[in-house]
Amino acid sequence: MSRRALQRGAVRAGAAVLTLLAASVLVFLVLQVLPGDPAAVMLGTEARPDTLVAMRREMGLDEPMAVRWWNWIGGFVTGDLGRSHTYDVPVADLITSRAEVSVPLALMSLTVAVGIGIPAGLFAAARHGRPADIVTMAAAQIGLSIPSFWIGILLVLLFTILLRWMPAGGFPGWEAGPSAALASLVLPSLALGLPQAAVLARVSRTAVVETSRLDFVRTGRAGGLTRDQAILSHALPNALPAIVTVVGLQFSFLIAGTVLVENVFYLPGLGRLVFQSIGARDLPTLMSVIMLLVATVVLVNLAVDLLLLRLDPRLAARA
Amino acid sequence: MIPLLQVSDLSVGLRGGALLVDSLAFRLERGQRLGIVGGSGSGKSVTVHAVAGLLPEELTATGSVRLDGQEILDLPETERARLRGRRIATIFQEPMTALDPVRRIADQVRAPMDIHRLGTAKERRDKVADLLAAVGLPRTTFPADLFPHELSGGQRQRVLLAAALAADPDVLLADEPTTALDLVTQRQILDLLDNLAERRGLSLVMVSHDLGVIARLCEHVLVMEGGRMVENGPVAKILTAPAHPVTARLVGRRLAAAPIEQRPRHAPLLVARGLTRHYRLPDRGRRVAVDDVDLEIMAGESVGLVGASGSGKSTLARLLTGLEPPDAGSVLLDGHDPGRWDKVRHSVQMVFQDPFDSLDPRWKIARIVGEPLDRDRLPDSEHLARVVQALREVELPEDALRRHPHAFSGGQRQRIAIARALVARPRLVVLDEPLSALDVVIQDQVLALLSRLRAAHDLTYLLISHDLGVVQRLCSRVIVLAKGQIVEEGPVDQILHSPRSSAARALVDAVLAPTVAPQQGPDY
Amino acid sequence: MGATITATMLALALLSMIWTPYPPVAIDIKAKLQGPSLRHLLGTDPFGRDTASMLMTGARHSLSVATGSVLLGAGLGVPAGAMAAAIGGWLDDLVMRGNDLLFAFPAVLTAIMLAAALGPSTWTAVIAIGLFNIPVFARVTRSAAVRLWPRSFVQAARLSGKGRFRITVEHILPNIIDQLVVQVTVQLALAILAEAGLGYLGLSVPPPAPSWGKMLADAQTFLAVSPRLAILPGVMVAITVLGLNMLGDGLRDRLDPRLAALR
Repeated sequence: MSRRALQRGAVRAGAAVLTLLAASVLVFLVLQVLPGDPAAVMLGTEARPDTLVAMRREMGLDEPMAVRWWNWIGGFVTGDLGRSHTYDVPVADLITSRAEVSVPLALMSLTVAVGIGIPAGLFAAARHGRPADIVTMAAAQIGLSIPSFWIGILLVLLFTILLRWMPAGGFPGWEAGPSAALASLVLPSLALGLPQAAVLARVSRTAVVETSRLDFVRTGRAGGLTRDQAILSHALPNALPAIVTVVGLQFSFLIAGTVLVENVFYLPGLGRLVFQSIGARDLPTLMSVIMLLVATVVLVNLAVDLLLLRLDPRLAARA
Repeated sequence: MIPLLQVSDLSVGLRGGALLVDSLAFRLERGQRLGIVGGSGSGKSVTVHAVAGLLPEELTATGSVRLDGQEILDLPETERARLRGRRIATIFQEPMTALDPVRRIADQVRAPMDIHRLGTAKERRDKVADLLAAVGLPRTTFPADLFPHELSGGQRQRVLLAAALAADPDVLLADEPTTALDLVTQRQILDLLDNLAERRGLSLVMVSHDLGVIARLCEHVLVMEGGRMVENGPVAKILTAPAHPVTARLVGRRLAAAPIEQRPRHAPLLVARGLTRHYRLPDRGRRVAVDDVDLEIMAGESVGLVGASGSGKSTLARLLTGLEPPDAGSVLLDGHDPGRWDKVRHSVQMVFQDPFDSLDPRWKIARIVGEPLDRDRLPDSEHLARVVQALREVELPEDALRRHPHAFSGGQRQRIAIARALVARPRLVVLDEPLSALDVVIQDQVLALLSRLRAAHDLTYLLISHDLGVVQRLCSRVIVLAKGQIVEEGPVDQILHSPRSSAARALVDAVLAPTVAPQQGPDY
Repeated sequence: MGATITATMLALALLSMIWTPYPPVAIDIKAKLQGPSLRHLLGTDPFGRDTASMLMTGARHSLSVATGSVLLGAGLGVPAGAMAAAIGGWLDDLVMRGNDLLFAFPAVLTAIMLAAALGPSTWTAVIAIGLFNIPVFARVTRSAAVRLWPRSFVQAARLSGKGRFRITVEHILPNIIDQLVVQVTVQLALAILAEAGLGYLGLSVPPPAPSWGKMLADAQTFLAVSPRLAILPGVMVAITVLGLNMLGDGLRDRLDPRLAALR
């Protein structure tokens, strides 16, 4: 990478840090105005007022907001996320155990999206305007219109209830062996990944068809490449930035989707944890998990931007 | 003897649709140079694509194209690809977009050798260095790891030329290779092509709309119109005795120059002092686009502002019209400060370079032409009367008022733009390369219109151009700009015949008159 | 085709305001979990509520949440993007950084946070999805407007003495309205999907009002007994989204024939 690209990368990383700080303020403020006193929720309705005050002090709820934000974010950076009110374990441990489900799920879904979406898009682009293209795009159009959690329900209906091939959900844990654990994630990752594969198929097809009409593809052919070779060696590399950008954006949808799909399949992941900790008014857990998910989105987008700087030398030069 | 390239009865058309090329035939001997000239839509570019085997999928070609006696028109794509680059190389009009933006230039020059598997890796690398040096991009100043965006248009065309020659082709097809470049660069590229073709014994098919360009390089020329050949012969004969009206029109351009009488008056209309403007650049900090420029334009005068691309002339125009604020210096129009131009806003109007960009596609012509009057809140009838009158001045029918811009050709749109400039009854009209997007015949008409309007309305013109030939026909005084500074100033004739600055000399040299022998110099 | 589907859904939703076969909330335990019949065209749920009536009412909620959120997103995003393009400089930076910040919050997470803070309601859903729409519209508007500003016809308008606001209204917005309309259909489709998701988590309209997402959540319990209940609401979501997407593609093709050739 050129010096200029490194410089741009550093600026972009700085912006990401600022975004994270702003996001943390936002998360903190929104969740502070939550109705319902967490201390009261914990102690139940019968609690005596003085116990309540003591509890509030113990939970750090009596300090000024700015101080509480600073303590929280300081702890967040050092890995001390406080204790979960409901599970009474360190939030960090809770998150680690839930991430063991969510991270593999996200990665597998991304694999489904990329592994099906991009080849399908290329296939359609190479047969642009012919029946194979039209059929592929019709399938993508439908895939695009189906909510991921409904695909999940349909998959359960098909594979569990009708075919009886798979359990309806749940997670045996990694102790049960990697194959059992992975098997339980297959249907959820299909549910999550398929709609994104449809999006990606459309995007990569359009990007490749569009770039394959540019002048330099003709230059490549003038030098002796056949039409298909020119698409692979000139159109695809130039379409890649658009495709990678979309993959980055999809990450945000995947995170959102985990909340839903983990609910469909009763998976003990981060998404479900968010959902459960609302009901329990488990503030330390809720804030930390949301912040962690937001941070993941921001960092993935940063990574995508850095990758784009490598893929397109012009980006580094632009002011 | 079998000719190197023989085209006979070549027709190209949309499937089941109109013919873009109709029964064309020509032959090219080894080492020969053939020019194909014609206006836009004459089918000359399609011909090149058909011969190169690069027609878009929706076009089909019939007839015969023989290379060394072998029929190549109906070869399948893989066999056709084997000829491209290796036997028949092609370069195109748009150097800015013809290089792959994500690949280094050395890789792109090497590509034809890689594709056709010529030589060892080292031989290929060495040859890339030789080729780049041969096209004037020596390794010392142009390291091979540059990307296309780091080069100018002229430099990119040099890279493309190097790539075209990489696999030692027998014939080079050049499709308007200099049209997108400014005149100085155009001249350099043509010299380079001439030189390389000479040394390598390359056969050349050169396509252009500009007979001057063809005359510079080719001995033989073929004139096309509406997909057919209308005339062909030695360049000298075509130039001196064109038989077909189309040819005559292409030749006749530039010869119709009528010197214009000027009546400079001694009241300065526009005075600029110490104008400076810089842009922030990614790498090199700041670039000065306009550097401490002093300038006066007298009422009734027509001044040409010339310079190569990148010389800062467009930025200067934007400063003078108040579209951009200067970083330093001042502009006074009729004694008024640009910050308070509201009162005199109507006094300056502008005609832009690209007529396809200068009219809002959503608006009807009546509203477009009337826009400069919008702030005046004239009674409807008066507003309309002014618009109708302006349209009449530019010789457009009144029913144009109710149409949208897409219904008009480039030349008509430029007339509409001129009408918009006139409607406010300006005193100074800035013409920013008003002809460069138009084809040669239309250029003449618009020039004639501009000089008639000047006389009728007592207008002052500031004409921005990179073409001294155009400036000569409209202006009496010329200001030459280079690197943001005024390097020379004086009467047109003086600058044309005895330019002092190197910038002015380059511009004078670049005016390619359609004459057979370039050493005779420009023909005025 | 896309327009027909969209219009049909809209008609169903509007119809549900004045007429449904049964009141969508009417519980009739005797008639629970019936299959399709002449009395109940699409059958009933475990409480004996008429599925067809619930789907119609669901369409109304779904479409109104989607419309509301897109109005919110476009209403704030378009002016922000147009201003960023017209004025540039620090304002542009501010708008774009704000965009990045909002983009970092996936709609469902925002909704969960808001639902936690405000309680689940139609408004929560509208705001959560709308917040997600703001940066989308701001970005589309800004990038289209930024491309227009340097064009000669805009420069000519400036020479006519018009200010940036007036030029935005007269030249910029009319020239990007097509793109915005297409974006509206795309965002409506995404909003329908998001609303279904929120409904599934119980974060959209509060009970007992039916929503497609909530119907799916309820149906999961009876998946083995009555798969029909898990299929019908999903089909409704898919058809509506499909219709909107096709409408968007159709509009895009009409507006830009060059793109049509790509499709």
